Amino acid sequence: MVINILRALTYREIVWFKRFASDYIVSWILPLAFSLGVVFLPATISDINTVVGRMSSMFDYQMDLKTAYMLALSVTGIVNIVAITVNDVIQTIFSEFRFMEVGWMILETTSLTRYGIANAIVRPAIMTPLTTLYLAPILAYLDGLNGLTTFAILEVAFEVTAIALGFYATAIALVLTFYTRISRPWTISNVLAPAILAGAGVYIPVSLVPAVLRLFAYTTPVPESCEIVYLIALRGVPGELIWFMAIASFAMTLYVAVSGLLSKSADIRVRKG
Amino acid sequence: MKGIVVDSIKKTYISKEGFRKKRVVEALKGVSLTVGSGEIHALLGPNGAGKSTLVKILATLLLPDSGRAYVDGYDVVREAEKVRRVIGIVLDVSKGFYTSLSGYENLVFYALLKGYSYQEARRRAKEVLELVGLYEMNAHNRPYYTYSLGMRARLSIAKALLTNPPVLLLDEPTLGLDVESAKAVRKLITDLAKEGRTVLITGHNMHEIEQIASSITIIDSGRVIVSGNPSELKAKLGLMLKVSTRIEGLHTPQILEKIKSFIPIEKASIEPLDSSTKIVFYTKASREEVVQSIMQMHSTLDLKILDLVVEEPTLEDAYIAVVGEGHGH
Ligand SMILES: Nc1ncnc2c1ncn2[C@@H]1O[C@H](COP(=O)(O)OP(=O)(O)OP(=O)(O)O)[C@@H](O)[C@H]1O
Ligand SMILES: [Mg+2]
Repeated sequence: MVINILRALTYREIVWFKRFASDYIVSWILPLAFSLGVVFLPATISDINTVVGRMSSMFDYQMDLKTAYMLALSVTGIVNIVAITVNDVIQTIFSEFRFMEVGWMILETTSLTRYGIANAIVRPAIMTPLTTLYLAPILAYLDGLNGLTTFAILEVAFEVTAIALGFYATAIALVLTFYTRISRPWTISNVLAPAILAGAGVYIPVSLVPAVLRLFAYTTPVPESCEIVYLIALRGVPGELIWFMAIASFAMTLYVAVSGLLSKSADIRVRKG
Repeated sequence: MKGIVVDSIKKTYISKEGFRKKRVVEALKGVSLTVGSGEIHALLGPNGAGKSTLVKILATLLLPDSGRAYVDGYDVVREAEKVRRVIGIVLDVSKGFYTSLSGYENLVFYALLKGYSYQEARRRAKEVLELVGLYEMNAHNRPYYTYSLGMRARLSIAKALLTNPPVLLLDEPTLGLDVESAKAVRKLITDLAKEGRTVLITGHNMHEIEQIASSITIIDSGRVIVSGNPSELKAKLGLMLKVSTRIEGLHTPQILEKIKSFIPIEKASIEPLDSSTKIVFYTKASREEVVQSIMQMHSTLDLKILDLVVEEPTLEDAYIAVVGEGHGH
């Protein structure tokens, strides 16, 4: 029963959150420093108005310092969810089956397919609000009630992105765990997240990113997520949100199918010894 | 039928070594056994005999290549879901849990996976933790990675008992337990069997198993060597006497050769001591024949016999006789 797995995973996630709360606090503070740096570090070379002006022309939108900062800040949310979802999903599945051997407990109660699907939804769904929580008070401080609305809309985009990435990472994790003999999955997941982010046009519009990186990033919905996050940060609720949802759902369907098929054959593969 | 039926199960592992090379291990070469309902059946054998492989097949974690197996009447391949509902399993007691969760949290997670409500999951987790003594040791709330091997074994047993299953598959459940705890676990297992539960337990320690098992199967290299209840087993193998003798002077191969010319010998071992030689062998000959042959050897080779003990076999000796001295404990 999938509902049992969803409940068990939710429980596990909450326990982990309690235990690793300090990790989350770091994941809140680092992006803050990062986003401040994006706006204010260039300002130490030129002046702040030039930076804001350049951001305005880059995004083709006349913005003030506050908007520029909101933009930089919102993008840190994407950085966080991509890095954390991809790394966590891959490394957890890998260590469950190859190090801790919790895999037997899972195979004893359910199939790898059901577990994989439940895990791809629950982990990102719960981790996303937790890793982006810091945005709420800051956006509220910068833009009052509007800021909170922006946060809520951003969360929707983040959740959709994260769950799609959850399936994407599950497919990769299944391949790494069951179809390769690598023993240090972090070497791969650590490269994956920055590559996706770089290729997706985080901080610079995606049209300025080199084609090779873009090609890779376009295997994920992250480039679209970035665009929509820019639009949300600049304009509140953009009409393009609908399109983004459509694209993300399409991507997600694809990943669900791929990871579903992979997990089915992986389930048979592990049980064959 | 209730209990466990294993019928000609075969299992071969094929693992890749390097890019092209494959290593093929025939872990089970047609194993059959039957465990009656409410019985404690011990599966014994040396390292690599195939015990864990068989347990995993019965637990639906591993698919057999051929043969059939039934747990409480359900086919482990075709009715895997149903089998999972009636079994509790202990696999490798040193792992199998989330290292960063506590024992209690791991068990709640497991109970939720098994479909318990949150309330029930917490209640059952607490109950089984008390049962295996982890509560008492105040270990239930510590992260799993801080557990000693014995604590891990206890947690594995707690997990196996959580769903109150009618069939228990226990792969070396007492590994790492101190003498007292191992005894407590054996008592627990016998109590569970008295309630009508079927238990399949593996191990290499015959002495430990002898106290609780109502039937025994010894396997080696993927084959059943002998099977039966303890007295049957002794009767089957019990024809073997253990003969220990000490002879003055150093060993000459002639000694054993000489004895062999009178009676059949199995699994002989020769140990040179300071100024004498200790010889131990098993034989199916009668006591009289043994004594006669020793006397004969004595007179023809003109040796001084310092010591002679002819022992009725224990199960442990039977096991060693079957499996070989090197493997025994
Ligand atoms: N996953 C695997 N891949 C390849 N070979 C394996 C695998 N698991 C077990 N084997 C091999 O199968 C044989 C039987 O192993 P098994 O673990 O069933 O033995 P065992 O009787 O449980 O031994 P022990 O007393 O050491 O636990 C061994 O030769 C082992 O090396
Ligand atoms: Mg074993």
